[in-house]
Amino acid sequence: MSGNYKRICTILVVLLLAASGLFTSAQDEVTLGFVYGSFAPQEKWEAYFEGFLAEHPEVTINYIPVPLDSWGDYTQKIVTTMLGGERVDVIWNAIEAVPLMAERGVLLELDSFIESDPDIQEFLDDAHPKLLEGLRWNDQQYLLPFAWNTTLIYYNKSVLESAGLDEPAPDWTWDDFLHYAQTITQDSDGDGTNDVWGFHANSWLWHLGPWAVANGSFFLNEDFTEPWYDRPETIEAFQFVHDLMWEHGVAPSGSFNFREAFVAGTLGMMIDSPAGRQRLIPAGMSAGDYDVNFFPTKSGEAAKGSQWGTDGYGITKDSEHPDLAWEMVKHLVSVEVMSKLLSGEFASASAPARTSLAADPVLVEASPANYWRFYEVLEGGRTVINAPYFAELAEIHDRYMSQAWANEMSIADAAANIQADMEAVIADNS
Amino acid sequence: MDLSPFRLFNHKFNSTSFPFQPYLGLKLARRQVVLMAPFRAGMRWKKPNPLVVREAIAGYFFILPTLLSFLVFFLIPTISGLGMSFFDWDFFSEPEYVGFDNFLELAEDKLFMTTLKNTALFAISATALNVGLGMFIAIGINSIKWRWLKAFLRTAYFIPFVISTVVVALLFGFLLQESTGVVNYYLTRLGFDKVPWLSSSVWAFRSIVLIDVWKHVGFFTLIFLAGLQAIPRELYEAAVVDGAGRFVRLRRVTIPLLTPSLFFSLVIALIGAFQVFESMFVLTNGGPGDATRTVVMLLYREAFGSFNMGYAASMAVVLFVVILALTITQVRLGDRWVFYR
Repeated sequence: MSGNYKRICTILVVLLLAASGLFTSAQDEVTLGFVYGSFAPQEKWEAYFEGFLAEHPEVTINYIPVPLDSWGDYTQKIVTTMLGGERVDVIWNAIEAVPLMAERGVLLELDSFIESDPDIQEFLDDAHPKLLEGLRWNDQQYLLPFAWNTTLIYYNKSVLESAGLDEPAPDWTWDDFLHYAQTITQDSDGDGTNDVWGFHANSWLWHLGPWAVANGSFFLNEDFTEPWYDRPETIEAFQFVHDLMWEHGVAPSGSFNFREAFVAGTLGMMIDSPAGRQRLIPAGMSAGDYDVNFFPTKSGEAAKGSQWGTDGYGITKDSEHPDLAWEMVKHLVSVEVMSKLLSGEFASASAPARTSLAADPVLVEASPANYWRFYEVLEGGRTVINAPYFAELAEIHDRYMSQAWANEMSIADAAANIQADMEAVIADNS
Repeated sequence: MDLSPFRLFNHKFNSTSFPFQPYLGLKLARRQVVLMAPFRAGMRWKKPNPLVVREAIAGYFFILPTLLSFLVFFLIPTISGLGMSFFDWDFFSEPEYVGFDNFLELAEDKLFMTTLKNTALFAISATALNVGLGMFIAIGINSIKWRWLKAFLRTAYFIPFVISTVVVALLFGFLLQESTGVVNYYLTRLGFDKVPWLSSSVWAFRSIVLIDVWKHVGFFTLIFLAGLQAIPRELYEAAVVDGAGRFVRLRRVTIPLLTPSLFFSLVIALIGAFQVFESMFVLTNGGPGDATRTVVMLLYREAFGSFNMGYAASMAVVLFVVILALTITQVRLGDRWVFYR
């Protein structure tokens, strides 16, 4: 009996020890929730996190894909996910959503981590300062930049050559641009429809903004509290683009597959981002078949500015493991991860935030000769509209500009309406 | 009316399932009679017949999936949407009760009125074309003698209905491009001018209606074909004996006996049309200007773009009331002209 008693006691002690061991290891294990746009496959992020997980074997990542239609919609869905009880630690989001997420208390300020972690200095020195600055709101850093985008004028070299045109100078004027577009535009079979178009212009904020920047203006002032649609510089820039369609007939009106036409050689010039690299080469072009130039200006002074946006990574205020989440963010902006943007299975259309990677031979080889101009326009460029009410401002622009683009409203009237409506939205929100 | 993305993106699911709810109601009522059987005769308890109880339990078990989905995806969101419309809620902070303020603001909102007008115009044109053409095509197909051709045409007209609206919209976006679109290419070949299908206010609205009809007419054709096949042949034989010609048979036999199908189609088409969203969202984003902006699009923007959840909910409530009022009117008026009801 006493033997049995001893045996039972021993088993109990062993079981208790084993259980305590189990609990200890369970306590050390950490799950971090990571939110990303569901258009990207989970494998991409798994590849990004390989190094981090090797360094932190106790971490398990809970991948939370969220559908992305617009940044406002995406942000709302992230918040819904969090309200629904899903624990989110690290968020991938864009510059447009920073004010909204910061003001609504979703994101944690990163400044305290930055100040207490000397390791991050290397990234801060390497990342383009404009991108870091763009992801600040009310003097606080909310995201660390990862990949960014801007736009330039793309030109198809063989189309220019067929039209007898040299490659354009960086300081070209509106007149030069019109001359190029007019020379390229051709109705070769004489059926009344152009077979080759000079340029394609649409009324999107992303495509129209740089014209205003190149003319010394923009949609709104720096802090997005004052619309600039009543400034002559803005109106005349938009009028110039509008005239390319309705006055000079060198750009098609209505919907138009401009990238396909550009590749097919039926469009000479178009607006695109560094993303063009990723879209044109798979479609059959090589880096030598096209190049990029700055937006033309009225006066001829080279416009070293465009409009840009960036994405980045931030930590939620709800995170129970902010220190580990910070390690995760640091890993995501490391050279190891960011260089995956340049080549390989998960190469991206966007440009890396680290300036050191801009000169990476892989990127240089796959890019047209004047690729560096994308980096140059960051200096004098403006960020995309990033105010808490950005979705409303964008809709107002689209409402009236789409009517002007259909030639149902003059640019002056459209601009006046946009000015009035945007002022009302800003007054409502202030 | 609920505001969940599920409802917004799958309104077809709800619009087609909604009219069947009266049948669910009937089923429930019948089962209630069975279950309440022991209480009949002065509501005094009588020992229930175990067979009746077992049948009743089985009945409830069978309707449980429908009932649950109705509760979870329809009734609860509808009630919560109704409640939300009395609050000012930006999704991030605590909701604030504002009474009828959202509705008062809505009455003065010009954009809402524009979208309501657009929605009504779309609903009328799309319903008239879908139902009218559907009936016309069904009568045409039904009069074909070759069975294989009948089957082929029936399938051909129905296929667009099973394709996702977003895919249809993208397809038409490609076909209707102004400068390089296939449709304009052939129009110019035939000597016509290019049509700004999606970029002019007038044409964009017409194109959206056209796309809706292309997608949905097959469904209504099928409903009418089923209705036509249910008409007894003897009636036609009797009409022939009485000397009725083809047109008289159509007017006196076919159309009167098709009125139940016509009534059903009108109700379904109108409800679906009032909730239109995807095709405009994909093709025109409401433009040019607000020419193709509908109530559901504005509601979506208010809720998920501007985070005015309460205001958006009040729009949904107004839309719900409009659809409900129209459906009740249709049912009431239907009593006067629908046979076999």
